[in-house]
Amino acid sequence: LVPGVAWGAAPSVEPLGLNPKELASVEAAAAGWHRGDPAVVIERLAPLVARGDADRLEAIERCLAANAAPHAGQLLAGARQSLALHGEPSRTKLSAREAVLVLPELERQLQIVWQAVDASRVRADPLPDADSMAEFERLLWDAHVLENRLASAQELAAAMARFARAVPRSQLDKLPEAERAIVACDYSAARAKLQAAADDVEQREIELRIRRLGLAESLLGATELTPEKLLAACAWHVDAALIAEFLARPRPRETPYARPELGDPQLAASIEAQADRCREKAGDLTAKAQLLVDGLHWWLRGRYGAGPEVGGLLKTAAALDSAEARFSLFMPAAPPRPVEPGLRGEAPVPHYDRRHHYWWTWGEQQVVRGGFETLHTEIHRTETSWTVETQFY
Amino acid sequence: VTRLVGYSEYREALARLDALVALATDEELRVMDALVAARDEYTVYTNLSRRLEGERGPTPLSEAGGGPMRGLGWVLGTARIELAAMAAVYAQADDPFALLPPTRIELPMYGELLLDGARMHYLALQNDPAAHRYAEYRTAQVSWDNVERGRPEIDPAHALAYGRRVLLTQAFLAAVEEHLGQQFAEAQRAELTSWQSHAEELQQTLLYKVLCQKRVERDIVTETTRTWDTLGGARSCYLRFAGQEVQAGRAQEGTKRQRESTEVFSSGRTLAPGVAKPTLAPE
Repeated sequence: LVPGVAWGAAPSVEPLGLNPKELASVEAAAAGWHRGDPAVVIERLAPLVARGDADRLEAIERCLAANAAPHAGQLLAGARQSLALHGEPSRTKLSAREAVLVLPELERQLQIVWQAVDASRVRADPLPDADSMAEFERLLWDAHVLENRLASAQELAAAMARFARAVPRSQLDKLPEAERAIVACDYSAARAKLQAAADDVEQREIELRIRRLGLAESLLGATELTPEKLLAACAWHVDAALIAEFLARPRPRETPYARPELGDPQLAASIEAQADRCREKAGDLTAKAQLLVDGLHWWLRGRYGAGPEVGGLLKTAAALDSAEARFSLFMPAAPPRPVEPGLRGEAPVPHYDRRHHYWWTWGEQQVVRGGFETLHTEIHRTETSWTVETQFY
Repeated sequence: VTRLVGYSEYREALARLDALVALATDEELRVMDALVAARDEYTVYTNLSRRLEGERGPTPLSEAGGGPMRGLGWVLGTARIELAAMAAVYAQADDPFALLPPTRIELPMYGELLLDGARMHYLALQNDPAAHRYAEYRTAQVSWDNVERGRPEIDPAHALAYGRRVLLTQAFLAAVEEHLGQQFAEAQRAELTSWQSHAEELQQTLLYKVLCQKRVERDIVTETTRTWDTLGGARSCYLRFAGQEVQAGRAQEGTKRQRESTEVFSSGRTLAPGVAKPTLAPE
């Protein structure tokens, strides 16, 4: 019995507009978000949203704000996407109310992708040129990031279509105009538009690789070993393989390449000949350079990668059985520039100066909570990345 | 252990970079080092433990300097230590740091990172009020009720986390002794021995006085009685403890995790679910 409440009385409702159980659920969802646990966010918040009316929803938003968490739509959208991306979609059923709440947030994310596509220098005409392996690497990295964003956006559009289907058509008229437009949107057209942009970026990437192959051939002719020659010894091999694979892909006669440089019927043979010359010049340096580049790539993933759980320290449980889930990580879009750990006022880069300073708290969720409190750690999730403020004492 | 970000990533990185160091000429390694050093993203800050020294000031194991370091050796050393640390706590590896020995180009960097890690964990424990609270149980009596039901005032999950933390500290200190012990001056050796003995005492206290575990006397794989070293015993105990928690109400996730942890670096001391329980005896 709660002191002061008569036996048999109606459950108490907090001034905030939620009863203690609901309040605890919202607080647990906020805490789940703070420590990067999307499964808890969905488990605790989605059922509340599903059965809540407008007043209750407003109370949920107030409670989330009081717990320094973003609004419910953003929380649920991020959590569902995060789990889906890492191969472990939530089993908590999606309700029409949640769909209406989440769709505008997903639409906003889709618009962010389009802004990035429009602003990318890889999409500029004429295509930017480069005169060093390092500069080519930066351009190709931009193309890679853009392709990943477009692929994720297609997944996003597919998810939006699923979410929209959760809203009964009979309910559409009751929605405000802006929300109705999002729910009724033709998401297959949106996906087709994203696919067209992805095709364009891929062709531009191949064009850049053709140019880089030319530079690599000339660098490999030098007698002195330099960092540029080392990069060329790896790049020619990757470029030749990717260009050949691209050109060998069957393509309908009625859809020619948008990039005229790729339409040359002799291109495949010319690339093959160029690859042979590079192979001869590079010798065993190619195998060594590949070990270096691949090794460094994996190192960057270990150093800067963030999983979807426990403040980025952990992958989902699906990682135990699925290679795909094991591979999925959030990675910075631009090459990170580390800052001195412990500097006040600076967002830490990488998020964890050493991972072994932190993960010992993991085991049971309550350990993580307790452990992080002990470490005076505050974790804030921003739109695109994690920022972690930590005082490790 | 597979769920920890960095585990498979650093393992893949080292598989390639270790092979590279074995294959490449000194000249090639010099150019590779210059390439890595020129890029900001490969910068590794060192001597992070300096900020934990506080009012007590430097210890005989402290080092001057530190700051941003660049080059292939730092990249290799960071990956190796992160990976060994994960294996030390979440996998059944008797000596994880020895499983991944440093290459010829990273010996000084590895030693510096290792010692910094050991200082970090030890000094963090020394500054941690929760560790002090657990240490106060050193002289506490353990009743049969405590052994059967645990101490009512102890959150076993929290204590378990601290057990892992001390285990990690012990693994670092053992690796420092192994890798740097010969180079240490007498004062440094004495300091290291003292830290090891404090960590060992805290480990024993956590294991037997706080968590009130019984000593394991039987190897569950070979079914033979044997004496367990404290480190291996503590690790096994924590893994078993986590397994019991899982069985008590959790679904498959923990079981998978435990199964995974027994597969990696397996040394024969597996504690996989489904295997007969060990014979337990009171302390």
